[in-house]
Amino acid sequence: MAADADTLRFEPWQSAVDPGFWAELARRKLDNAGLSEDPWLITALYTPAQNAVVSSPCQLDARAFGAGDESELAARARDVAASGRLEMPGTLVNVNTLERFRAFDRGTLMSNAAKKLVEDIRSGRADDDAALLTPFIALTYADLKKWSFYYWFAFPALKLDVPAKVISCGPLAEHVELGAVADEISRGCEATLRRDANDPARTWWIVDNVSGECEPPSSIATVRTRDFSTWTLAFVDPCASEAHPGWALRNLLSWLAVRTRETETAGEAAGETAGAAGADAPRRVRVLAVRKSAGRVCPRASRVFECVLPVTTDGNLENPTGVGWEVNASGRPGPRLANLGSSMDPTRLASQAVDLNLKLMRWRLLPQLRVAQVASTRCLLLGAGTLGCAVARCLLGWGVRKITFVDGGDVSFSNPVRQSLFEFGDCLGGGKPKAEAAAEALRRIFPGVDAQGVRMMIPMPGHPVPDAELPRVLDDTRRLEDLIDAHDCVYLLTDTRESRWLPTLTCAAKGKLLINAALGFDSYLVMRHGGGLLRADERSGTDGTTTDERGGAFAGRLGCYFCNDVVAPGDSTTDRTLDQQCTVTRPGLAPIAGALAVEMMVSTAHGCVEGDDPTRMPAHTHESFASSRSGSGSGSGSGSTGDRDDGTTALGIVPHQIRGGVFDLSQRLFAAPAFDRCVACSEKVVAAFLKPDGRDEFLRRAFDDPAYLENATGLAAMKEEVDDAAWLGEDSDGDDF
Amino acid sequence: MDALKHKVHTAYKGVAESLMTTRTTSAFLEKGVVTPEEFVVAGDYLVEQCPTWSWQGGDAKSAKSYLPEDKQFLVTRNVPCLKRARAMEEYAGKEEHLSGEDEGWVAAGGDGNGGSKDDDAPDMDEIPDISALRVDSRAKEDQNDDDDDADIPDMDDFDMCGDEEDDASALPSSRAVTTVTTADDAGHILKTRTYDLSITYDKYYQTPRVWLNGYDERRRALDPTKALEDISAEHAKKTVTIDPHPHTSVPSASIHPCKHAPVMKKLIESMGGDAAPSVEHYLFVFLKFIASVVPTIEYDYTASASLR
Ligand SMILES: [Zn+2]
Repeated sequence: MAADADTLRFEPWQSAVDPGFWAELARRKLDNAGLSEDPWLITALYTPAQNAVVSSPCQLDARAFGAGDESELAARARDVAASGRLEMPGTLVNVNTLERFRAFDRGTLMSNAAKKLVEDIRSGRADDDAALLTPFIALTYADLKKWSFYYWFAFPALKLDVPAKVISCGPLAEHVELGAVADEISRGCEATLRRDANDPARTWWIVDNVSGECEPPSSIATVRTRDFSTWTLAFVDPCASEAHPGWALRNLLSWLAVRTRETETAGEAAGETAGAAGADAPRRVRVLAVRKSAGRVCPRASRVFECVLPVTTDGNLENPTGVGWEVNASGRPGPRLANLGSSMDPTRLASQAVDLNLKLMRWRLLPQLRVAQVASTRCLLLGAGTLGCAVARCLLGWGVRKITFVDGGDVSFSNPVRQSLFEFGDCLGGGKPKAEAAAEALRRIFPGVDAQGVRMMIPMPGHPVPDAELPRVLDDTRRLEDLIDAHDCVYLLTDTRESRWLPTLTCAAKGKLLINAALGFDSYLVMRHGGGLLRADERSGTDGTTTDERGGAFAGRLGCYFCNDVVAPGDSTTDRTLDQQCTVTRPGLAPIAGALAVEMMVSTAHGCVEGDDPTRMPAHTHESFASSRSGSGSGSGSGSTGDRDDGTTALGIVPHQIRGGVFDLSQRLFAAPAFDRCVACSEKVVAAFLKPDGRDEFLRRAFDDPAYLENATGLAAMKEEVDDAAWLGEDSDGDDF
Repeated sequence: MDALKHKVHTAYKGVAESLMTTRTTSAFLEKGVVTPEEFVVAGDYLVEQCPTWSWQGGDAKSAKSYLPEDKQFLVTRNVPCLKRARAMEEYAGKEEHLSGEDEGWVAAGGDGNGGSKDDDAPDMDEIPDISALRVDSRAKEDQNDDDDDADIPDMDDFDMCGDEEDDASALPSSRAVTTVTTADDAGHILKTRTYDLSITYDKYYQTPRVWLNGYDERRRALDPTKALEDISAEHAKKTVTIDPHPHTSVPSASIHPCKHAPVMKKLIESMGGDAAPSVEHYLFVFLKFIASVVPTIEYDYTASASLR
């Protein structure tokens, strides 16, 4: 018989590790283990094969670590039993570095496991606790910065001198002897599997060949004393293969070989019986691989293997060989890598969730939404007050990752209630610098953000600079310029008119998108500034020089915050009472205006093809929007692009200015052309600013005396020319716009 | 479901659930919803009829008070999924589902960010599935563009392979039943994924909710976004979200229950017949419906004869 028998080949386990396992490993490593590499005892779970398609894996989840109080352990055992799973005891060694992982002495790990198997078998421990025969080892390294987990499982099996052999195999239902009682056997196995989770009889049991009855292995004596031909060894088989049993059988057969051999050897020594076959002669055993179909033990899925037990010698047991390192995806023994960065690292999880939510918006509502473009917009926020906080939070909502605050102030006790990024603690000890405190808060809210704070006062006209400070102030102007260069969109959110001048000018000179928000007591203004004058000139070859009756300044360019003014910005704080100095506004305004400012930027990003100047889009007013809707295309103030589409983007219109208030709850759209004598964006000031050798002098004079700007731009001359008082109707008093 | 809505709604739902009382009157015939008690009754029946499903109590910290502590959710594990629903749909000639640029995440995913040049692009031996390519590129896009994944060594290059063990008793992995590569009629190589499915009770929608945790053909946990490949295109774009599993906190693909009740009501009505169906059968009907959402995940929902 044995001559015909082939070596019995066992299908190795496959580890299936739930991400929750790694999360729990990481938690324990961080909270408890620290740098200790002491092994942890863990538990994996498996089931009999559930179908013919896939073998059941060795599963590990967050509960594999088995800690907890008695009731938690009981609850876990209840779940294990309810789902018909069996436990596998494991040892996890988590090393501290990748180098340790690479160089780890796996040979010793395995030979220790093999020695333990032999001990468990010989000592009789495995008689009572069959789970000891399905041990596993997990060697891991957790890279918690990247949330990457390197791991290598082993399912140690004893390699005996003469391996087990298979004589035949086939479905239980068709078995020549057991087939007759196959249904009886299946029912018995089903009942056995429903035993309590801790009942060792759930791993293997004895089936009487004639009656088909299942008997729990009350003791090793059951199998020692009975004739091998009268019973079948039933075991829970995770393997779905028709021709092979699962790995779980392997040590069970070794156990049977060793324990019954010892019986016989012991018997011989005592002179009681000399087994006719002799101690080392091959012995046949019938094995039933218990498998399920549709959730029940199935006589067609379960298979009977007629086997020959492996044979071993004392020498083999003194120095046992273990095998069973798991193969990786390439099919060779090797480690695996679980990269949970994107799915479990909370920081990445947050990033992913933010992006996914935005993408869902695109997938489901607005395919044209340029999620990535918006999110990659680098935003510079000048001012970290009520508006700065409101704008920043809304930018986070759009997935914007790069946000830089510029502010020269410290957090004061009045700030936290209105400025959503600050807390009481930020005010203590004189107050933290606002820009950095705001950036810190953003990072707390969303660790994926790249937020920076720059402490800096923005140099202002009408605030004369003492000679000693001139180098520092001029330095600040260059720092501001560098910051503007390093960002894609500038938000002007300061609380004085004059502090808006230099950023406006710098952006005009660079053609940078600037979104300006300003608050009055109960009204607000949100506007975008026109593109740079020089940029417009560069384009004018194709654009033509459309001059209109108002002085030829329009040329398709939108105006800036200062374009409507006939007074250069000056010191607005010195001569004012406290209520005029502080921003006295209704608290609801900043969130409204901040949100509108951000939405305006986002709409702008959708207003033109990439590479085009976003500030060149038509600016809507109430009138122009209405007329474009009704089909007649006279876009007042809509610039020279009126012959294109009406400028309505996927996200709606992109107005030039939004003015609204909470007194009459109104909101109006305006568009205004650039003014050719504007103190902040007209050609003369931009040219002076851009002149390398004259720049510093120009700025110093502007800071010292606002009238200088009026003269430089011809504004003063114009004021003299015009005696119509209406020109002077609007000045900078009162509301800040 | 719109994204911001989903986000806001999730928060709102949490608050609402904490304030809501649980439904106590039966309304599954009129509204397609069930009470927690009915969920348990239907779950018991499912477990009895289809023992691949079992009740789990899960972590006590996540337990819902309105369900028995040992019957918090239902689970079935290691469910095979031989091929991708996406691929199946494409080969069934349903490309129109995927082609409309105006809607659908599949179409929207391919707006020039990567595509087939991505590292993640499937190997040549995989199903040449355009939608899968796009799903991959989308999944890639989900990570930061300047991702530092690049310096994690690919395990294939990892010079740490052990020696092949000299072991005549081990079946080579190439012959293991789960990793044997088979081809379908069209010659496409099938990669058998497996899924652990669970069904929780959603207090807000008063319906069951299905969660998917997948493993690839080598039993490596699937990124939840990859589970979208196994969801029919029609549903993937409308009703699938990725949220932490309520009992394990593992990010899982979930079929959002916002439309479950009306669908269930319709299905229950359509069963018609002489006698109104009993609430015991609710989960069978539900799983039948879910089978249309995840057509290639072969879980057991064999309805008993009494249902017909
Ligand atoms: Zn201007």
